[in-house]
Amino acid sequence: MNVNKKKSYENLAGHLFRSEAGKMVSVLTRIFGLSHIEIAEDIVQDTFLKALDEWSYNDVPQNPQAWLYKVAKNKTIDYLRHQKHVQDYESDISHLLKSEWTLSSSVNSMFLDNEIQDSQLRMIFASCHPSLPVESQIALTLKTLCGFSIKEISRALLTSEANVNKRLFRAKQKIREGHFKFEIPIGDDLVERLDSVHKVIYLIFNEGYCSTESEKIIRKDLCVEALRLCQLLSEHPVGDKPKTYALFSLMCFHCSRLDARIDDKGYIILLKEQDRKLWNKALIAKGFEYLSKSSYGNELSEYHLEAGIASYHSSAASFGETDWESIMKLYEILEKINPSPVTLLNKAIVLSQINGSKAALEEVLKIKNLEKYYLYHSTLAELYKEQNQNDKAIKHLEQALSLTNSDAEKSLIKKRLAGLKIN
Amino acid sequence: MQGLSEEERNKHLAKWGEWIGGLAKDGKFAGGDPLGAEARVISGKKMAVTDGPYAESKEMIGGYLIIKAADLNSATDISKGCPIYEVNGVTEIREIHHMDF
Repeated sequence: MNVNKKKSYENLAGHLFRSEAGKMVSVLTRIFGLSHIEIAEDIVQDTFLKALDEWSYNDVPQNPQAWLYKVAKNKTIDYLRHQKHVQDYESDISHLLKSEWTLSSSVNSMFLDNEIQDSQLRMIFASCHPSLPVESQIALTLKTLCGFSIKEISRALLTSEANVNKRLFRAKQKIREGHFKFEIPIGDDLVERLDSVHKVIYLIFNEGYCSTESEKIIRKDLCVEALRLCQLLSEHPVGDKPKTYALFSLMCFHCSRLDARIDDKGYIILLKEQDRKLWNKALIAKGFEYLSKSSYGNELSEYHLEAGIASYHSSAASFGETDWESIMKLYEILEKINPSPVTLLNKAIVLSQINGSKAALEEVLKIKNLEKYYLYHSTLAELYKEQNQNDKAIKHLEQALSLTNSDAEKSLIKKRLAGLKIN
Repeated sequence: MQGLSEEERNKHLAKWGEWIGGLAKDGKFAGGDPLGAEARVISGKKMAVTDGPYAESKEMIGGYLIIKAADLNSATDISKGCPIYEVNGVTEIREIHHMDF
């Protein structure tokens, strides 16, 4: 096989793993029951190994998704046949898996589009179970629904891989103890869990937008996945809420800049220097549509505010014409709802546009617990540079450089470092 | 189920799922599988082996189900829900006897 062909099937397999792994794990977990989620994960893993193996010798099948589902179904049926008289599963179709009259057709029916959707929703809600710490809920959802690797989860959550492993291990231990139900919650449970679900979708989007994997700065499919999960949620009565719409709106606004954010060589282009003609008008329109949809009821969430902020950026004809005062007002409300260090950092950046770098610098220096975030140092460097304190700017850029794994981010920082060292 | 289109077959299979699912939910389903068409009959002390006892394939036993019922009459009622009649099938209902010797 030639190199190009090898590359193309590996890319395809990688892309499919991302988009299909979560669907298949959800469906199989519904078949085996939540306490046997590891069987589901193993079967999905085996399915992808088989795909990599076979596609490297033969051509990639015309419908790779259907191929994957077929292999996963067959592996599942084989597994169930061997376990028929040994193991009971607590899924709602377990009795149908015990007889050959219904085994195969039941497994097949779980792979119908509407059942896949239903399984994914159950998986989203099961992963966001209130008996798990929020961090574990997020880690679990990223792992089971979005095919995230441990490394990707650790970067998305600004924590170590060992920590993610520990969280997942404990979460699965709790699951095995059997207190979790694989179903869509109702009543009071629903409100609490919907919050976590929104947060998880938001993080998936961030992972795609501010990608942490080296080489590929923006993994569009991740952003698309987040939009898809959010839409899935909005189409179901349980998720059809203003907050869901605000979140969707926010992601549309950010998504609209995906193409303008990266140049041909994969380098990051800052907001200030982006060609605004490249912004996706359809997505901006969609952002406004969902922003207005989100404005019923009396709830004002972080997502409403962030969508509002993004809408001001999206409607400014140029960087210079950005309505910074209105953005600042939204940040002030946001700070009250969620005074997180990252919110404070972003607010300080807006302040630098209104009151200049000196005032902003004072604000940034007050922020605590952000020393491991490369954008904290990168922001400080920019502000010190504007204050003509190049030594300090260089020091922070070097710290930023050591804190990011993204090649695109690294080359942007190196370019800025080179510029400072000449002056 | 021969002679059915794929869509018809899937519909038919879905009914089996519903029926067995319903029985299982009521705690009346205990097991069972469809059986292959090819058969061997072994008889007598000499253990003579012949191919199946059936003159025609339509007489073939297509499978078995073990259900829980109070008596033969209620088992008969349960059997009336079986989707097999849709494809002109036949069922035979027997009790499992306890060997109390």
